[in-house]
Amino acid sequence: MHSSTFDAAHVLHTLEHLLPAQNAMREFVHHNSLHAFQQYPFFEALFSASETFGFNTTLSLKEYRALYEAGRISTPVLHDVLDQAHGAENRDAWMHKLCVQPYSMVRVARVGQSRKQWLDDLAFDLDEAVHPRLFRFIAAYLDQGISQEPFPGRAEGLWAALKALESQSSFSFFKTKKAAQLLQSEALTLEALLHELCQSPESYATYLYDQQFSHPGWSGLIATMAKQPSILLDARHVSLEDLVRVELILECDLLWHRGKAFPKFSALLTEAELFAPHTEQELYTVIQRWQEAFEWTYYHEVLAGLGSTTKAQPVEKASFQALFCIDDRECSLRRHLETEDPHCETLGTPGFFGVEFYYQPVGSQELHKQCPAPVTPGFLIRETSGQRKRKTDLAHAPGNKSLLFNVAWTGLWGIRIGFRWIGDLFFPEHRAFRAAAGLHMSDQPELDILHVEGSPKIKGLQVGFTLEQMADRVEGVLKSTGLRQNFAPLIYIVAHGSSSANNPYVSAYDCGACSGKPGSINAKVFSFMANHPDVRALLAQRGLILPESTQFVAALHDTASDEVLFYGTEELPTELQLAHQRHDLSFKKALNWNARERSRRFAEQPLASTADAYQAQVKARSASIFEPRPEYNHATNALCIIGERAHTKHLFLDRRAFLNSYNHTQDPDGTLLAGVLRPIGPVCGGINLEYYFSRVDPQRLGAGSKLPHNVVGLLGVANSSDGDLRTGLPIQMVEIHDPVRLMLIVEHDPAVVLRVISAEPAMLEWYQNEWIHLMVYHPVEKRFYRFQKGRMEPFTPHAMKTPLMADRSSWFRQRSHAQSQSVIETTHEHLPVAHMAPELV
Amino acid sequence: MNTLLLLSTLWPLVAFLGVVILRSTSERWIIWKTKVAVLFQGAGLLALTLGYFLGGLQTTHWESPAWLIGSTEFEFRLASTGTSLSLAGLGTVIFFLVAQFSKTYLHREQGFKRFFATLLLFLLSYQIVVFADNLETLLMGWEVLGITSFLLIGFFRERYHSVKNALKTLTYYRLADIGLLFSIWLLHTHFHGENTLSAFHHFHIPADHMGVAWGIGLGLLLAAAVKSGQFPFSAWVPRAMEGPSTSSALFYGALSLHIGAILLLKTADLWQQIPGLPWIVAAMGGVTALVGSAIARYQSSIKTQIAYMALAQIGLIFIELALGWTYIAVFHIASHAIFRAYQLLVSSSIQHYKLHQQFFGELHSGRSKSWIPSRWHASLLTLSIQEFRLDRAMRSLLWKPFKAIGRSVSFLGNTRVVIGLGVVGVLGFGLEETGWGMHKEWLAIALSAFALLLVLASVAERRSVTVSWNFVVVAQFFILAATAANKPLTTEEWVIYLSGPIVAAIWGHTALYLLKKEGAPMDLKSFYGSVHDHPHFALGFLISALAMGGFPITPTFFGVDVVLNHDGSNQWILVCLQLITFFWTEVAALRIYSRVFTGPFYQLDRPVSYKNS
Repeated sequence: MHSSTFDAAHVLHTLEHLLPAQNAMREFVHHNSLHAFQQYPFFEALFSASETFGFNTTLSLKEYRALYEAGRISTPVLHDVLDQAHGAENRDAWMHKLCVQPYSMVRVARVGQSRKQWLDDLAFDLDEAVHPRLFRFIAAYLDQGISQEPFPGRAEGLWAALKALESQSSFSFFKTKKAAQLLQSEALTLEALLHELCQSPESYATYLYDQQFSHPGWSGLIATMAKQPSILLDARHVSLEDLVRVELILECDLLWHRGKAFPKFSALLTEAELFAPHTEQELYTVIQRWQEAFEWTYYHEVLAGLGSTTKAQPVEKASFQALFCIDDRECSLRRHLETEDPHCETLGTPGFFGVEFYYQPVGSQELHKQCPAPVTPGFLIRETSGQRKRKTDLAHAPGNKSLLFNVAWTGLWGIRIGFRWIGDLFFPEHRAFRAAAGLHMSDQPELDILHVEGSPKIKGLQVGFTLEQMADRVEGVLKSTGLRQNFAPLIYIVAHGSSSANNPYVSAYDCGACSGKPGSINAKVFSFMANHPDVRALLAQRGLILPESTQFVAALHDTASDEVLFYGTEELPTELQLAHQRHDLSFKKALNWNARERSRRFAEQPLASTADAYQAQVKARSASIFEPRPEYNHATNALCIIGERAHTKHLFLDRRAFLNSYNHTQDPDGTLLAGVLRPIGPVCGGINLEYYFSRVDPQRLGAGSKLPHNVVGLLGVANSSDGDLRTGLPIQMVEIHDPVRLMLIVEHDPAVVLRVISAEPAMLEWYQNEWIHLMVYHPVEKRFYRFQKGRMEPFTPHAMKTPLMADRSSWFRQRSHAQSQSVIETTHEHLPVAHMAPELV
Repeated sequence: MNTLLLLSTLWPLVAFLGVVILRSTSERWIIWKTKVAVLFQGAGLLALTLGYFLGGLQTTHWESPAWLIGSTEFEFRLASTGTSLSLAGLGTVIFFLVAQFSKTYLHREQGFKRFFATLLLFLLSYQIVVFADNLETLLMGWEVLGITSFLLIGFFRERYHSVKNALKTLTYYRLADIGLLFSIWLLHTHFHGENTLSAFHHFHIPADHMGVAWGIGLGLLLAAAVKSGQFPFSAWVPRAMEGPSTSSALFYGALSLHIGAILLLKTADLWQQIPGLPWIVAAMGGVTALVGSAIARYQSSIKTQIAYMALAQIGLIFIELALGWTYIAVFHIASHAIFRAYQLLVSSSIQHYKLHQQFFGELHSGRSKSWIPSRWHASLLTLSIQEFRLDRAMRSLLWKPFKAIGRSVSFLGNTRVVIGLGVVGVLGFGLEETGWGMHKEWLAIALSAFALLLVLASVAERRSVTVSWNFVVVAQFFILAATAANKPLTTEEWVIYLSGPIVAAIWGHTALYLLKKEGAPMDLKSFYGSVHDHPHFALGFLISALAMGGFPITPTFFGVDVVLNHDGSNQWILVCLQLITFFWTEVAALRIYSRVFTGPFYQLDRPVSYKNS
């Protein structure tokens, strides 16, 4: 019965590692879908994952060839890639292989193979019989608010819950008495259950892998939730082992119910064989070259543009400064703002602005986490006043009441809902069920930001920050972005959030640095800290002198409706208020242009005639219940640039770059650089790779089309009443995305960068294994270095002409005509990297 | 006026043909055509309504010329009564709102054209059902409605659950069709084909015909109950939520789910006369209302919860109909349809909304503080998770026994044997014409039973597609042989019935042959998804499968009626056998289509979904 060859703990641990790490949708965190393979070099990981799980991890050969035909992959770059890998003398042979030679490649997923054979032998669709009941049971147990009856009892875990339910209910969950009795037996181990199903203990491990990977959505959710249970407002205890046991007993039940003896499971592959490295195939090499050529076609364009751009003059007396999130959507707003007001300065830093805390809005008992996912804050910021009216929505209200109430409701309000429906279709506007970024925090919040000496901890958290702690954080942000002197009279801290209606992925559109929430509260807290005279006194002692005339103002940019909300401007002194009015105008104009630029991608929107019309369209889009693409979020992201804004100020990057301000001259030995680089892998790399994988495999790594999605338990979405939870991003979010890896460009001495990344193995892994390309720009030598094979090699991009963007309206006039979701069509509207004409900067 | 009625009803057909025949896939053009269709229809309906009121609530009738086939007379009738005008208006309005919603919602979706084409076909079938003035016309609309459901549930053809549930829903719908066919047969044989709905008002069922009337009533009730998801036929409703939210809203929120109630509404004058039947209707509605709302309270996914709430409400509508409250029922249908459709469309917003409410309100806001003991709770939860085991029951009572019978004759599954049988079947006509020996009725029953066995063998067949298809084809000959044995057939009747199966057989075999040449897998053990690489073969086979089943694209639609009407008024066994055969014929044909052409692609050389996603 018990075998030394089966190690349950090891198998469960491996499962936790390999299963998708997507937690409940309340806080959507972008992460590398193949994070379990991150210790391998990129392509090795891709092909191994493909062979192990059957994922489609790259575009198909046909698509690459079509991209080449369409000119999206440049020939010189392709030649370059081939020459470097196979030598110039073999170029023709390889060109033939890439462009002409037919390959047939049918994957056979190793995981699941044995199970499939077993099910064929059984001539019984066990999965179809077990999964619906299993999923409904788990959903009922975990349900956070869709079911109107809470799960009876407060059992600890799925197994205990099943036992409790079975003992209380007059109807059995099982079809056979044998299974019901087995459920009640004490200390039922995994081995005991597996023994009923498998021929020998050697097959146990494979059985479990095959079983759990037939529904990675639910298993992944349970495994991730077990590690971070606080995400649930209505707490539940979960563990992967419980899930496995429940599933095993359900399978036993169904197999015993059939009555006849059944052939037991025999693994065709051992665990080692399941996770063996990928086989050698020439097709893999061909695909690898294509993907590299595809990526480098873009990178060369970028590097040529960066190399040939003129460095902007430093702004002497800035009219205002604005600190934005590094988010790629802010890249375009910053550009437009700089055009509208050439005397302003914009900077980029992760959108939580260095302040990590839990936020408790007024009237709530629950907490919002407002910092990056891996960080566990020890602080609490409470909103003490600022009533927000909570409106109930007509369409959702009747669910919780009795049948008779329902009759009255639908009978009376049916016609009224019809009128509302017409309104929603033709005049979309905010409704109670819409997620609006501006509602995250009251317009004039009263917050407990300064810690009162001796005040008690709440939920184990310190309420507010002490002056010292405040000074630490403000100093951290100002120094890392390089903003240490020449402060403008007004410094805006611009956070971002998103608004949309009828969108379960709303958290994915908000600021990732704030765990999928709007960052308005962080901006407000930071501004308070930076404005506080005592904090400024401390900062002055540390060398950061903030003049009295400088005031920080918090703001929120709604990236979907392209509006900016400023907080606390009434409290500014009069002359600053006047200045603010002028800047507000610049913001408005910049937002108009931003809306116009974004509209270029929205095919079905009609061409607008006035600038305000674009803004109105975009705003309507963010409130439309029928719009599955309220905004494109991080789609098309491909770059991350860490350095001075002056280098990128004159460059048009088509909203594809994360821009983090950093001044290498103030940090010659790279101590600050380490702090700046640390989150880049998990945050920017995570975003990029999630988009990559959801794009190339929308069915298994992505969430498929949004249209049939069905919200389950407020935890996630599934595709039907009986479907598994979907992980990853839906097609509507990734359809215009180019599946290319992120290129990180750092402005510093390559030796320093090398030292910094080598110091932390977790950080080095990203670049060593080439999950993110690392390019370093030597500010003195004015040349690029590529990090490859553990070394920094000098790199010269191909010489190419970078076009000039002379006027914005003609560039943004191109409308998206893509009618399908094929990569050729949806991505051919990317604009090239361009230099901006002097009038525009 | 009556031409206007005909035009208003059939206008969506013009739009449908416009979308389908013209090759353009431009979204703008498709939307434009749809909107024009709706506009014209709306205008037509308005004119009809004006005419109705100005004429002093005068119903407009339209009748087609009568067509005599053998001894059966066919006629299509439409009537614009007050209730049908309101329901037609409701349908057009909801359709317009859903189409407008879908314009952006389905943008860049691969099946955009397919979606709107099917939607237009649905509108056509809905209008036919609403305006139908006799049961044959209604049946025509009814069948088309069923097929549009099948096509839209299976809209995401590359997903396993989509296509599986589409077939399951179709099986339920076919049951409804059979109920209607049974009623039509009874009306024909016992009431001389008197089935003009608007005439039921003046029609009094003589007391000695009450037994037959019960049969008619139950047939209608079966059809209505299945289509409206009433207990015990509720299991298909949550599984029908596989298509895009807009089609789920239009069908299972609004129109298609209410069509059962609409049927009862239209035939109310007849079945309300039958003493005791309204009690059964009310009981069914009441049980559904209670059970449906109980299940809904325990559902953890929003769309299944809405599905159960919807059918629970329709249970109440059934009670209203049983009580004879017509106007209240119409208002309730209209109001409920709009509400549910909207609720389904905004169902995804519950994710943010509910969490937001919980954040600021009480946790478990709106959840009941239980006044019922926890034992009841636990039992209700277990039952609701299993959806009161209705799906299981339907499978054990319906699917499994028949499939087992089919498996028992699978030894016939050899192409040569099947063709041989076909020859025997054809010879059968000739022999019957000469009046060979045996007692006619028993021969007819034997041949009918054999036809049923063949169709069941087709359903149970897993190894070869062509054998399965041949079973269905040959069975049609045996059906005809049985009919001929019962009473001689005229040439016209033969041709009418066989037109569908023969064309279907040829076209279907061609499609399968061409597919086989391309190397696609040709067995029925799994779903193979060949539609992605060969959409034209798939469409060809789909049309063949529909034609085989008597879908109103070939004269076989009439042929089915002809076959039934050949049965004497007391030949119950024969009728039952024939109805069951018709039921399984369409299921068998579409099963072949589903397995060969739809589902996740059989090879992993492209992104392929998991089986349960």
